[in-house]
Amino acid sequence: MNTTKKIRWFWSWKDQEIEQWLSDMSAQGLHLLKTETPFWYTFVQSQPANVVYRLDYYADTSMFTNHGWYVLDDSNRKEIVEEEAAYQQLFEDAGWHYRGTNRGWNYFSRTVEEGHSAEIFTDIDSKVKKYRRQLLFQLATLLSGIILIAIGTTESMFPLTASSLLRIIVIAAFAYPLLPITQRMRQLQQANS
Amino acid sequence: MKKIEKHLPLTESTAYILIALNTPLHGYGVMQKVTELSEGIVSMGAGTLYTAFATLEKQGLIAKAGQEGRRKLYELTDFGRNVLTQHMHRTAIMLNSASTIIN
Repeated sequence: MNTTKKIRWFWSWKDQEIEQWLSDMSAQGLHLLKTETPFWYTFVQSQPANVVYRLDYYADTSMFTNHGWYVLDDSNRKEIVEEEAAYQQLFEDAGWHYRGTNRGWNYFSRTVEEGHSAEIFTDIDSKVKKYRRQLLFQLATLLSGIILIAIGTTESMFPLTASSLLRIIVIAAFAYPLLPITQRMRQLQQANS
Repeated sequence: MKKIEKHLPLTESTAYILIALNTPLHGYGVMQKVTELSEGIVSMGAGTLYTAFATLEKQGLIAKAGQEGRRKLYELTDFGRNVLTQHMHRTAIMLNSASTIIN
């Protein structure tokens, strides 16, 4: 099988751009086979086709359950694995191919057919909730970053972050996405009203 | 004590999901059933249905009812049934008033 790897980065509030890029690749005969490593995409060369790609987002598989984050022990690890399987199965039953997951993004594809919906989200509420899950993850990352810097753990771990300018840059880099993600949510809600 | 009123009125798609879950069904089963029950008016994407399941389970309107291979079955809880019954009552009043006045 003739495969090609490509690297691509995207802002989390512009996931439609990656969906479009993958469709454009398929139109040229390069179809997404899998994605597991962040920013890496493996394509297989075949006939050009009209394929639609859709991304869903769950920062951590424990978000699949109602327990919240990072409460992994053996009892709920089994539950999470089962929930993940049920989640993928639902999409597959509905005609989507699961292409893998990385950085919390789950990739699905399907060949465009008449009479079949090319959307995984068919209402505004579920679209907004996808971005809300990203927002929560970004906030959690930002807060844990601030706490780590405040208690000085990072100074011994990464001596570079001891510089206060670098600390500000690191915090700003994590804080920056909060605004565009919130704007994207508002945009979706306004388009609805 | 959970409040029924908090969940009313149900959105069209939520109402259809609850009606479909009168008997245990897995996700894709619900998607098909909703399309059938609504005579094709409502069709739901897999992502939307998955999100709805998570929300409705959290609210206690539906609950897991078993497993079928990789698929999870859900069904209406007693509380969900009460909410749906109240919704039906409200909708019936509206339909009745509407048909008296409009026709």
